[in-house]
Amino acid sequence: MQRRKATAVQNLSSPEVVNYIKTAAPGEATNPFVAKRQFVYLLTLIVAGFFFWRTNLPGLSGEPPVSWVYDGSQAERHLVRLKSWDAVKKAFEVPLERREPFVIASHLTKDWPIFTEWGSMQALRRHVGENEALVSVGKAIEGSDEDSIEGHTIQSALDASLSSELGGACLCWISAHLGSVDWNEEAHGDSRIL
Amino acid sequence: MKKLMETPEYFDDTRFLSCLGPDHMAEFYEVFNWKMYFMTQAGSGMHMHTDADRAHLYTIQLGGAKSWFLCRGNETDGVYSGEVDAFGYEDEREKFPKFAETQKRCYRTDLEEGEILYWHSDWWHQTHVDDNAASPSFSILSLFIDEDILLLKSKKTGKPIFNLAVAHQYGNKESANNDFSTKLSMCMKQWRDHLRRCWHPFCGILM
Repeated sequence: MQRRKATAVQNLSSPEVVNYIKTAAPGEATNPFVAKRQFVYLLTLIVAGFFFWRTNLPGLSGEPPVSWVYDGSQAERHLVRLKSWDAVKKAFEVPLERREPFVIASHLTKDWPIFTEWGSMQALRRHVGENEALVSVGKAIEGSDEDSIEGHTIQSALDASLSSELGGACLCWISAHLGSVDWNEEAHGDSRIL
Repeated sequence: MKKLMETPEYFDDTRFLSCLGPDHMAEFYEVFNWKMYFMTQAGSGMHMHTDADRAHLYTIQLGGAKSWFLCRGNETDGVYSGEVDAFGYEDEREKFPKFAETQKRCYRTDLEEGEILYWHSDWWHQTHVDDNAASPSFSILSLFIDEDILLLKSKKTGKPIFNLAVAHQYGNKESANNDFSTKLSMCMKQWRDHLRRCWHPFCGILM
């Protein structure tokens, strides 16, 4: 402690400091070290303020801001892709009335077997091809029961949807019970689409 | 109850549906488009619409890709109550002039395999699979009803919004709705308690 005090006194009495004090105008900081420190504090405050503002934008949670891309004459605003579960959690903390839609990045879900087990026509046929379902088919379905195919297995409905009658462009909307129950085994005795 | 599909634990609603019991489960399916599997071919998609569920929605892109257009629920005039085609707007500019400005406040994204899109059912949304897509798009839509939404009340009337939505679907069966709503709330609470013990971070988020 004694040695540290001695060094401080030595520093203050150095010719450089003495000269600065002598030439300082009235009201000006008389210690160059204090002035430098004040500048560093101010700079730190500005940087911290900027980061606080950026990370508290609604729904962004430190992710890059939404970007505007001009594709021809149509303006497009792209959704943020959240790259960590923490970021997703923060996005959910935004009150519902201000919460924006967002995308959860694929690297967070890469190990989920559901993608390989259900992400193709072959997988769909293998898993539920023989199950009965009501399937809506149409180029752009306007209502829930429009163009629906009743009393078919999912496989036959898929075949119908792929037929040339529909021009090869269709949207198949298969019942609401996936991941929940095998509708065929329920008391209703039929399958349906909502 | 036999499952058709093994979903990650936080999307597994078996416990929740069992809790509802057969009668309420039937009623539940009447009201909600709970889970849907979409196989969407090139050039097709769902028109611009909102859902009356007042739920959180997740769409999981299982394979291929799909484009999405989302606008806030209060943009009803700007999207002409869903008449506008956001993906084919260049051909409809004269018919729907207001959408030129509205679309700047909307979002557009291309959802790729493995990605999950979250939005709330109040939002207007439209989908489209690129006309030249090499393969169909496969996706699952999953709902999550927050207990807060069940308890959400209209600022104007002070009445529960959820019950109003159900009443809208059911005409005047208000007494049955109250019973259904109570059961739904109880089962939702049980499901949430179960998910609290789930190891995955997403469970915590859903809570």
